[in-house]
Amino acid sequence: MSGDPIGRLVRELSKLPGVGQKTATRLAFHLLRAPAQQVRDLAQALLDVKERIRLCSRCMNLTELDPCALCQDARRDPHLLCVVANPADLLAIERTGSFRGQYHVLHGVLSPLEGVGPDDLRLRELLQRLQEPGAQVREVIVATSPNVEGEATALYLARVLKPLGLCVSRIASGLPIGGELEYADGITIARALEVRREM
Amino acid sequence: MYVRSLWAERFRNLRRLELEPHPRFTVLYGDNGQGKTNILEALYLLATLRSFRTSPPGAVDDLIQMGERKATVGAWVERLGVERCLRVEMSREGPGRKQVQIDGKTARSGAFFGGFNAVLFCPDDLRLPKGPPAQRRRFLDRAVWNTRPTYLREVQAYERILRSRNALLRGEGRTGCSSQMLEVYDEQLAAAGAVLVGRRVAYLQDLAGGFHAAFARVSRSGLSAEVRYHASVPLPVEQGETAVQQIAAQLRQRLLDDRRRDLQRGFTHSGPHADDLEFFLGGQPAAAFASQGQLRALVLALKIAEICHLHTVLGDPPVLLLDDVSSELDPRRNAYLFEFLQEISCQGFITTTSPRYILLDAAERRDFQVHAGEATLANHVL
Ligand SMILES: Nc1ncnc2c1ncn2[C@@H]1O[C@H](COP(=O)(O)OP(=O)(O)OP(=O)(O)O)[C@@H](O)[C@H]1O
Ligand SMILES: [Mg+2]
Ligand SMILES: [Zn+2]
Repeated sequence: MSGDPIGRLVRELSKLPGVGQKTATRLAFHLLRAPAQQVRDLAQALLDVKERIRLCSRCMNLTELDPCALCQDARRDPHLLCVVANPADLLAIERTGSFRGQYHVLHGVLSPLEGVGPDDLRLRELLQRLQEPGAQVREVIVATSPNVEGEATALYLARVLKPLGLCVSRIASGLPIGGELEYADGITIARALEVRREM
Repeated sequence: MYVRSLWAERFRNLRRLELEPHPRFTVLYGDNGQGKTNILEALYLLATLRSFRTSPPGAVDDLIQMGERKATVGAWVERLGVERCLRVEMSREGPGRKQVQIDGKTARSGAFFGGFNAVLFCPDDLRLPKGPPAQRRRFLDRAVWNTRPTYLREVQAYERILRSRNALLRGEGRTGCSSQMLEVYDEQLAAAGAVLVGRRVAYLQDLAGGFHAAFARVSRSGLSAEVRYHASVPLPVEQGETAVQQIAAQLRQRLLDDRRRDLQRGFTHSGPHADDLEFFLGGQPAAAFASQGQLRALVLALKIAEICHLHTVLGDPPVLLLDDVSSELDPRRNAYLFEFLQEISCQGFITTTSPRYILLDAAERRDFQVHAGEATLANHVL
């Protein structure tokens, strides 16, 4: 590693989204002045997320435990599976408290414009999970955002899942067209889930 | 609706412009290159958040005065008795390069649309019947958008799907082009495309009567005038929801039929992005048969029909922006244009190099001389 620790810190910080050179420099000097313990805690927290958080082997959500708490919760309806693009979308739905089934996180949506195809999503894991012996899912609810990419992903899922004899439904388009699920309010999300339609 | 006051700062060559328009007609006259069209552009921007002469229409860099980082335009606009302050700030850098405010509060562009409708008529429009198809599609899409603000979203979604499908056809990135993926984008493109075709066709049907009548008056002839929509697929006779579904089904079939060709060429051949309009005069294709004067009369009639239709739909007359049109019309058609303008209740902004083209009474107009980006109230005797 090179010398110039301040320069290195500024460089690393400015790689973060939304952090420019100026902010990075300000943060670096702030950390330099902060108590040693606070900096140590921050460093440890950074390492911990990287080392302790991983993907749940069933639902692909971020978790410390594998399977995750949601997958282990026996009270959740095993017949209903909600497919979301990102962990943030899962959280948004969980916060409404209106969905009692299980989840699957794709980690993205189809986007030829950004070079994202089916193989770049956690689709194989989804198919495996739905086809394994003893699988109980009857209905798959696709809860991707109601924009071009989200709709394409939903159409694609319907194409591959319906031949498996599953009911595939789409959250209602009560969400603003082109809007992001993650930023919709709880009532809107709950309603969109409730009045979903079969694809 | 009507513009009570307009201001612009560091916008194009308008360093600091403040203007109090006439409730009826505001005439902006001056030599070439002084900023007359820039003033219309500022108004157009306040109505649509776009320019009619930048590419792409949403670009801001050219709008900001050279050597400056920011530009602002604003207006007090009254609509159906409610007055609002609209403001657009453009900046060369940062993520929000165009920020909009309504009554001092930052607004999303969706909330901005629909409060202020403007119809532009410029010399380019006079070339519509013989110009490139993209110009005719742009005319149509702008006209439909004026009648329904949400149409913009539908167009943007369609364009994104189209770009996605084309990227897929070219096998860009690592996506790979499986037939299953193509089917998804065929389905999406057909559904979104059918919505656009349905809206465009419905719009033209609504316009047909007014267009024909306006042409009869402009040309003082008995010839029938007509605009036909040429779609990539056969259109159903009726309109409405089932028609849109039928168009979608047809479009899907067409995409399937075209697939080999599409894959070979790496782009989508069929869909509303490839559709066109054609003008007919006395049942004959106007681009090939009509005289120069007749073609201009057709366009003038089309714009008049657009304005009248928009007035009906909005329940309030739109604001007209006429850029240097008189110089392109012969005296008789120019006289008719002003006859029409005086009949309707719209507010209008008219640019010209010579106020003598402007056949309006003194009581109905306020003239400004535009020179080097400044507008001064004129006190000439007409
Ligand atoms: N970003 C900019 N910064 C400064 N000046 C600009 C900018 N963009 C355009 N201009 C200037 O604005 C002038 C053009 O103004 P405009 O098109 O309004 O002219 P006009 O009065 O309509 O002329 P005409 O009668 O020829 O149509 C030109 O002189 C051009 O140099
Ligand atoms: Mg001009
Ligand atoms: Zn899990």
